[in-house]
Amino acid sequence: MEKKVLKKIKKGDTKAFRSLYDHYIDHALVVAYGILKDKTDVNDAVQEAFIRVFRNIHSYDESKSFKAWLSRIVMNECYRLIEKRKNVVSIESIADSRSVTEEDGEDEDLTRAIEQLDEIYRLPIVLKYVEEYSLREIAELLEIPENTVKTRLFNGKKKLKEHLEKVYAEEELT
Amino acid sequence: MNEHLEHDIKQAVKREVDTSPERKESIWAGIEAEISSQPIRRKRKPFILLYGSAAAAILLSATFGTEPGQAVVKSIKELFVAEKNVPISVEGEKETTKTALHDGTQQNQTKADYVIYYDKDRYELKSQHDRDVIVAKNYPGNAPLVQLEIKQEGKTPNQLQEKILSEVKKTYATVQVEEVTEPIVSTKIYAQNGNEWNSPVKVIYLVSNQKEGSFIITEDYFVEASEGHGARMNAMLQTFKIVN
Repeated sequence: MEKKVLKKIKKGDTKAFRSLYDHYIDHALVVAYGILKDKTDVNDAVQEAFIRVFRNIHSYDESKSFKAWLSRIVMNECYRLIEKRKNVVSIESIADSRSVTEEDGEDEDLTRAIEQLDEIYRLPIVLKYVEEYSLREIAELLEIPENTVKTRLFNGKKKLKEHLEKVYAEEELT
Repeated sequence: MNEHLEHDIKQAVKREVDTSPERKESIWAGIEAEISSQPIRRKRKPFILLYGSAAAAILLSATFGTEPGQAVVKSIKELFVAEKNVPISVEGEKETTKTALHDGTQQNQTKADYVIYYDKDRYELKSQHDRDVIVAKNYPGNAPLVQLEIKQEGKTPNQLQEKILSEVKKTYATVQVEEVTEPIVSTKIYAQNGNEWNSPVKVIYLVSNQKEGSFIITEDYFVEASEGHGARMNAMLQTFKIVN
């Protein structure tokens, strides 16, 4: 992140913070999607994460990647939200869930397959193939060994393939 | 499908994640409302605020581990004032606490030096050969343990986490782990054993010492003291600074 922008944000400049927000919001949304299934929750977690970034900008270590720092804060907010909502079933999430229709193609099958993946697989997949993090960066972010990242990516893709194969097999029977 | 799966995953996720201007504006509106109502909270960096570019120049030119480097570290520490008043919120009430500076200089070059301000009216600091312990003054001997301990080990927080977790789980029923930025950027292990007023609480912060090791900062108190001793310890921890 540009040092000038950072300096301004530390002084409370909300315009500078808005430029940072515009730069990183897409990334934050993707990371949150890697953990949370509900769109409203993703919004809430990302919003809270950026508020925390603004309030704690002085604790950011400029020698390290801002993107990784932000990702960590987004992940923490997602986990906080999961904990909070453990026993609550959102009416919106029931309304949002949809059944696959004949018009839904292969793309929608893959989308649903990704949504149904456990976060332990979905998050590394999203970080690797959407945000193009390296294995090492993912390992540092998630604080797990690189080999574990490789295993989770492998198993995540395997589960996606299995899910899609099952869907196609069922479609052929009908 | 195999060949294109990774490409298809990217396309599917990008389609699914709504990055429309409307959504982004809606999220920003919530952020702006919150940050406008509560201005940015500045972390205390007294030497930079008081001494501006001179202090920044000293920091930039520091070469730690050498004689000139040690002189720089010493001069940095001298920029921390000996005492300062710190506003904190205890049990819902705001108060100002007088704190004293403790200089955590290490004899071992593999360990990091640090400073921390502690509430000298309510606590005393005891330096032992391998740790500093801040304990409540005039504390009844039969009361649950209340103290803040700072020590270092030559392993990273990641390397220490599992071992410490398994030890804590032996004696505490509830154990939670999370990455935090307050009161200090760290891996935080929160442990509690029971819900009575005097049930013990242990909070461990694993902080990188920037020398491939860790500070292990442990707060011990009890459930009913969370808003009292717990809040005071967190306020002290916010002043913790590594200086080399």
